[in-house]
Amino acid sequence: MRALALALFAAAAGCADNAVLELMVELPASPGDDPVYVQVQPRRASNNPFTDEWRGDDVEPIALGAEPFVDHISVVSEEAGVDLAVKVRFCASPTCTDLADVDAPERWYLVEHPFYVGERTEADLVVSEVASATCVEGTAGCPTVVDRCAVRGCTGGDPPSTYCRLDGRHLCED
Amino acid sequence: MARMGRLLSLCGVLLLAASAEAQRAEPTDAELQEARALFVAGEAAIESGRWADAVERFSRAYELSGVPVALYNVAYSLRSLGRHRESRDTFRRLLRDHPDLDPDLGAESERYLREEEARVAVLSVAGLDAETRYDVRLDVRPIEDDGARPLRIDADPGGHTLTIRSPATEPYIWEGTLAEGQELTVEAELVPARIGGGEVGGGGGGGPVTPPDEGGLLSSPWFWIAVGVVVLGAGAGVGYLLYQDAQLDPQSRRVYEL
Repeated sequence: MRALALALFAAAAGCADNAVLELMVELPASPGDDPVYVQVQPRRASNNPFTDEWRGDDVEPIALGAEPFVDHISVVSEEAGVDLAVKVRFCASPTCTDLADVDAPERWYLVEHPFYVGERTEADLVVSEVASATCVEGTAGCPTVVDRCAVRGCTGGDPPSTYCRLDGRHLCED
Repeated sequence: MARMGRLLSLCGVLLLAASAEAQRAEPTDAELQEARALFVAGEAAIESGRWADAVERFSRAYELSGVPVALYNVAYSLRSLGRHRESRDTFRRLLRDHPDLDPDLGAESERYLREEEARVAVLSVAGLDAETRYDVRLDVRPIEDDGARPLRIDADPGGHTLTIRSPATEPYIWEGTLAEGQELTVEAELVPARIGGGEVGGGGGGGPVTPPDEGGLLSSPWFWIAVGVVVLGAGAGVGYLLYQDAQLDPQSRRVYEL
């Protein structure tokens, strides 16, 4: 009953209690004749180390084409304050589940604090080329970190150079 | 698009705005601007077959601007929706409130008005007491009982439910279908309300009303428990829908729930 009352209150107040990150993953063109499939796996960073194999349902892998393109994935969360870990896997099979894909090369990304309840934010992940091997954690760019002030949102007009205020708070923070 | 042939376009509004009759306070520039935007939205609604939305937008455009073309388009859209009674009334209003209407538009409106008048059906209700004012509804529309007997009700062609209530009588319900332009008389057989096992005295509605018997449905606790369950269930359903509606929607079809 309490949840219902809260939901009714939130609805009556016109409030959303979820947050959406529109993740724009810029993908490269396919490097050769063999098809390459890309699987983008978003996870809560705090309990999903990059070195683990991430299981569970994911959005469908997507085939690289002759031209670079942007894969748009909406990540919905009901919790603010978490960091988002993203693996981009390069697979040989359309489902990324073949035996050959067990050790599929990966790119790792860490998006800092992308969620703000009731707000829609946007972040870019740039994958410049198809990786041939998974990077070693802790080395430069492994993971690639998207700074919280680079997470777009909560502003109108021309895009500012940073999405944080002078005191370091994000524009989406109260 | 063929049905749009008779609708007047935004160009018509812009041309005729200057000749709008002074039926209301002069609209401000902001109101005219909003009216133009609503007019364009009304045209877009018709393009996609959303006539009811078009009615709403043209109506608002007319309220803001007083431009007769907007009212003409309201009437035309109502006609397209089969709401002939309202269309007839709107064409009448257009011709009454804008006597200096553009001659072509006036002639067109007159023609449509005659068409719509011929389509509206009339349901005459006989058997009503002249001294009593009844709660009359045709479908969900309240009908004013002005005391005229028989009571005449204008209606669109199609299936209808007529309900007549008064404190002294049991509800009278008629269901039937009216054809275009049909005039049908129904005899309302009003049965005195049975309260407490007896009847209201006098038959004229002026008798004393005794309380309902204790064994009736309303005094049963199970009835009220059932009502409570239904109300709570409906409340929960509405709350859930409102809650869902308030949530942010993903912009991509590729969605991951964290």
